[in-house]
Amino acid sequence: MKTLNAGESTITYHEAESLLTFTGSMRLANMKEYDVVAEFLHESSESSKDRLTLDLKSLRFLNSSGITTLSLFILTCKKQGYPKITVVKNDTISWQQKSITNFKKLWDEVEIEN
Amino acid sequence: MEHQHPYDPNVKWKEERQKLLDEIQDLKVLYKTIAEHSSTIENELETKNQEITTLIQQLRKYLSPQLYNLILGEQGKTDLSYKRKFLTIFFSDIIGFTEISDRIDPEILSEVLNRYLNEMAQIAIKFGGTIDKFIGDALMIFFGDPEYVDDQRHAQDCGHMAIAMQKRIRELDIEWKNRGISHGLKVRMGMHSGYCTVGNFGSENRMDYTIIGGNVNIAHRLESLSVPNGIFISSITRNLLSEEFVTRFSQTFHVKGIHYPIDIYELLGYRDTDSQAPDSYLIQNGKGFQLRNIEFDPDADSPEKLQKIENTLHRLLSHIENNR
Repeated sequence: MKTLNAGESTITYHEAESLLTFTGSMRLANMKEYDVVAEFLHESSESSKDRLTLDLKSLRFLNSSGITTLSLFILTCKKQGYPKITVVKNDTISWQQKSITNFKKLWDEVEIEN
Repeated sequence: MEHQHPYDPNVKWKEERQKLLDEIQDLKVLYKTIAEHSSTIENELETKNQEITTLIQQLRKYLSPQLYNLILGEQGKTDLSYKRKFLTIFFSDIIGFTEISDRIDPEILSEVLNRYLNEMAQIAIKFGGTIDKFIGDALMIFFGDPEYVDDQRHAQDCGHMAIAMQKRIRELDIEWKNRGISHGLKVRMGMHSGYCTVGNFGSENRMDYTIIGGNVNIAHRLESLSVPNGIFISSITRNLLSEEFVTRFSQTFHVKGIHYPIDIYELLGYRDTDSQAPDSYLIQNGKGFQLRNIEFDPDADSPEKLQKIENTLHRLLSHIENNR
């Protein structure tokens, strides 16, 4: 299990389950600061099996640089063809209602679960 | 048909072109994703901002200006000086509250009392009153500070507020009786207008932004003289009220320390529209009274007439009680 603390949020990678859980409020200042997040996602995807799950249920807030980082990560996976992505969302958090559905538009193989 | 060689530069160019087009398509979706995400957050921010603005406006009414400025960080604006201002002052008090509190379960009592005070505070805020303080079951409210409009407007807003409160109290009275409070809810009110000293009073550790002065005491006295469910106002306040208000002379009152007497009037309601408007059955004359012939025919008369008769009888009973 690997953990990355990014400001007021935490990302934990559970290797055995190919699962990334996001908690807290992700509000780093700019794209440069999100480099560590992008790197953490990349490393996790390298060691994951054919499908990687991003569990965002407990991510209360994600700013625009954060959504860009996640979107670019999905586009990278799309380009290399693996791992396939499953996103777990929480409809009680308003930003998740629309933004997460858009991940499927980026890559039609993205699965969205509630 | 022309055969395309796999190493044909044309094929490669087409592949590159397709790749770029795919990438542009991805970027378009990405751009849209980010824009929509930002909009969601911005809209939420705007909603929250509006909520905060509304909350601040509410706080302004509930808190003293000093505390309000302190919370909002406008320390430079905190004015600790005293000032003299012409205000309309309002007092209200529940009749027999001590007796009620001895008889009723504290849980029920605190629930109904809080409900009553909260509803009265809402009405005060609606009419622009500044709630000075809650003193047990009593309320002290004034009009004219921190926002000053004009003396007539303050007196009239206060009058509208008092009438609206008494109307709501009549409804709450039924609820109180249903909750087992046999006394019901009866409230005395007093209103007076005059110059007061506005400022901070208290000890160094605990200051209250409040008003003091002889006129505050007069308003309080008018409240204690008032009949049950009555609104007693001084002639000074009465002179500031518009034609739409109906008042009736009650008594002349001598205040300690003030050489001239003050005429007290009862604020009855609004002209024509209110069922409490001038009583055609009852004429009060000091401690005495005259009751005119009352007749009611359920087939010919309206329910409003019955209400008028009921109000008259209530008024008469309180008059007798107060002059015994």
